[in-house]
Amino acid sequence: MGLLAKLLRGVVNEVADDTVRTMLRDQYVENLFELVPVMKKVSPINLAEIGMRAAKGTPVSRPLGSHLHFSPWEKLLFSPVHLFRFPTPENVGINTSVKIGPRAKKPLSISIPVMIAAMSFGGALSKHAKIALARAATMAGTATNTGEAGLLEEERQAAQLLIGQYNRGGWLNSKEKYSRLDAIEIQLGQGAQGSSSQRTPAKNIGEEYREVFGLKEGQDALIHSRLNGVNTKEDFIELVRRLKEETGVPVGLKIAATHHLEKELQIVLDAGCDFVTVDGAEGGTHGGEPILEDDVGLPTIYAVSRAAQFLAGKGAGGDVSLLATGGLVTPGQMLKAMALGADAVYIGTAAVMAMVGDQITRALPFEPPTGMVVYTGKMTDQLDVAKSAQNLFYFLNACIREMELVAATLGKVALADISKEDMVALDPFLAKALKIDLGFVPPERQDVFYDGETTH
Amino acid sequence: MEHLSNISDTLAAFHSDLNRIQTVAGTLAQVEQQHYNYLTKYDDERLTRIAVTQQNSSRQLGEIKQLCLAMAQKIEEIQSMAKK
Repeated sequence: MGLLAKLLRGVVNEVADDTVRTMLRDQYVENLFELVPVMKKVSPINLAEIGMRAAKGTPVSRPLGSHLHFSPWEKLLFSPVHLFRFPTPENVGINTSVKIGPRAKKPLSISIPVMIAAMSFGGALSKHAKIALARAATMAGTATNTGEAGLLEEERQAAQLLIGQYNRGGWLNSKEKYSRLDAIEIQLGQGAQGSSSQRTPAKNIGEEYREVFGLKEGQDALIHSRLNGVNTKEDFIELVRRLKEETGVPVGLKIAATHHLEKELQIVLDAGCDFVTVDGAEGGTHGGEPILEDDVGLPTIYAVSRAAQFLAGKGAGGDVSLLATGGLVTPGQMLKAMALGADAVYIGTAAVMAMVGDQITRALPFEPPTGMVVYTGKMTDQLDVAKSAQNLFYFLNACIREMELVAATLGKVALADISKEDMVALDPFLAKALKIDLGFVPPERQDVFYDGETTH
Repeated sequence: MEHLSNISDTLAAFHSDLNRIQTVAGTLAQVEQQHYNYLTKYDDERLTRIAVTQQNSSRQLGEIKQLCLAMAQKIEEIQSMAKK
């Protein structure tokens, strides 16, 4: 060991000894250790956000949605088969394709049941990021979503299948634009923000953004809380019918999951929507107010289950496709959402993370990773589009392969065949709510667990 | 009447072609999946990347097979309605 290293080691030792001694002896009023119980009580996230609010006096804009895990996906497990029913032989292919809006004149067929969620150019992501997402989706045979934006020509060209949001900003709502889509999703809300209005200030809007959105210089981009022209249920029904007639592609509704879900879904059925997208409270966003992310909505797990039960109860299960989104990060969570009744899922945060992949090192340690993909990021030019598309394509492939393995162990030949009968719950309340067997007791003794039994 | 007969023949031809396409798609899907299995044996990063692409192609071919099956079934329905 060199002299310098010995010296340094000695200094570090002295400092460490002194720090530990201080922490163990000094009272809280003069001890930095005070921060530990404070952090535990307030949480580091809340502490930082208190500081941010105090610094500016305006709501904090937190990226990627709530950090809270509302949906207890880990309390559901799939049930493998061995003899009672046999697993699927390994040489049998698992069908992964899905048709969205089967009643539409031109249904949307995707090769895998995972799509890229609505993340808008400008409002959320950079052009490079949008192109990379579209390319990856095309490679995987799935669809990507415009988000609340205008029609970005480069995205349209890169995406074989593009779902566009008929949005509350009005930027995609002209026939010339929505006629170029493969499905139309009327956007009335999202998990991370409910149906609140949102504003992107003009200072954050560049020339291309203005062009795509049709904004004037100095004009803010405003998402209203209501869709222009839709102030009654009848207005909505009329809009859906018109879009269906004009385009022939599937027309659906996207809403933030809510306890009023069934009432909203009844209007979806009355309007003849081809699909409905339910965005759980865990849904991400480029930046949203913490109160909307943490304290508004309904968790994805309950929203999907309730929506599926409602549609099935109305005999619309096969006709109206159910798309689930909001905080689905692992293939297991995605597959569980499908087993609960979703026909397909959207992924946002996970897709962005996968896309950036090991390019994260270009941003760290001085910039946050989102700086490479968000429109206002400082490092958007550092994102390698080809590499990003490849990363996301690999991620999607890996996720689907993992789902196929579960399908095989359940003895299924299609992902769509997996249902809640293939799962057990590890929590009695969850089992009751989702109408899934409780894993603690055999199927024939489910009622006994809840009702109790007399001992003999 | 001749016109109707033409439609019936055309539908029969479409039905036959769709069955052919779905058979080919199904076979190719299996072949692609076998390639995936072969290529991932070697634990080589470049081969694995090719294998992943093959696996994805296999799924898309599987989708084509399903689409063809659904279309063929629709044609059968139309044919049986026409007979009635």
